[in-house]
Amino acid sequence: MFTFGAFLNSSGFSLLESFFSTFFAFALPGQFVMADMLIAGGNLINVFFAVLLTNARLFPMTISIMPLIKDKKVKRWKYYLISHLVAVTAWINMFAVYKKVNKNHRYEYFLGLAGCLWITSILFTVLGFMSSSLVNDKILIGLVFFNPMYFLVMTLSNITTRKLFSILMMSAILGPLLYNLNDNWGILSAGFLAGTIGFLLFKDKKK
Amino acid sequence: MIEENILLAILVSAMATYLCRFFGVICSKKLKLDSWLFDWIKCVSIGIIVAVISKIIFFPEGILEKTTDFSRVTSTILLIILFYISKKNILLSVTLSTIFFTLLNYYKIYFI
Repeated sequence: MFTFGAFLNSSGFSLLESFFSTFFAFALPGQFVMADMLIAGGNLINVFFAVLLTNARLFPMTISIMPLIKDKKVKRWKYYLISHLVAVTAWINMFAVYKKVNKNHRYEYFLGLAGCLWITSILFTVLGFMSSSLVNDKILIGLVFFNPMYFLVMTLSNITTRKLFSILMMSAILGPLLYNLNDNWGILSAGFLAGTIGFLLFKDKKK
Repeated sequence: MIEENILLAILVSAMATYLCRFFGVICSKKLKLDSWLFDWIKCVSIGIIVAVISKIIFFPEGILEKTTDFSRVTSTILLIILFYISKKNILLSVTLSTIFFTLLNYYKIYFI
């Protein structure tokens, strides 16, 4: 988010707009796409569909996280609010630890975890915006690369079965291949294909 | 860029982002943790996340476009090796491989 803030500053956004971007449209890839489309002169319809496609992964991610945090004491509308906090880092972390968290406290746990990540993301977007002129471009590159590296290692720590390992391998290969064929649907199709094949291959096996 | 356009674009992208989450909550209503459907959705979610990461490594956008394929691929391999030899130490493996990546690009070291 720090680098995203720096990127927005260099792209002509104001400090308030940078703040609003992470506050209301929290999901980094979609935010990058929105800024990129604006710079390239895209209209609002282009922005809407580009962001919708980029963030479509949030749909299955939200479906799968909700049963984990389901609590009869929590009112239904609160799930619609907390869903705003569903993003890759929180999702991966929640899946890594949910078995160790008492069932009755999983909602609060996720609220604390994802809420902190959201607030930190907003703060770092603003901080990145304000200090963009102080950070060397080459250092900035390293900071940007930290994100996918962190996502990868968090995903690896969740790979505990042969089924998940096979999905990881298939998806790592299919992702770039299908993206090369179609940059709108390639990533979603790769994830869908790899996930479904892995699921079917190991359907009747525990591992 | 027109100032008004930026605010509207943020609003539009917030709507697009929230729609994905909103329908996720609706569809999760009757989903149970031990059902095959939950297992399948989890598999697809992991598949999508790995595909996103893989795409960033091989087809980066924005500032990462300036970096070499060699630096991204070798840093990823180093990350995986460090992660397993350090007994799954996340902070250590990510920090060291990011420093390695930054140095490769800082000194423009590339072999392919």
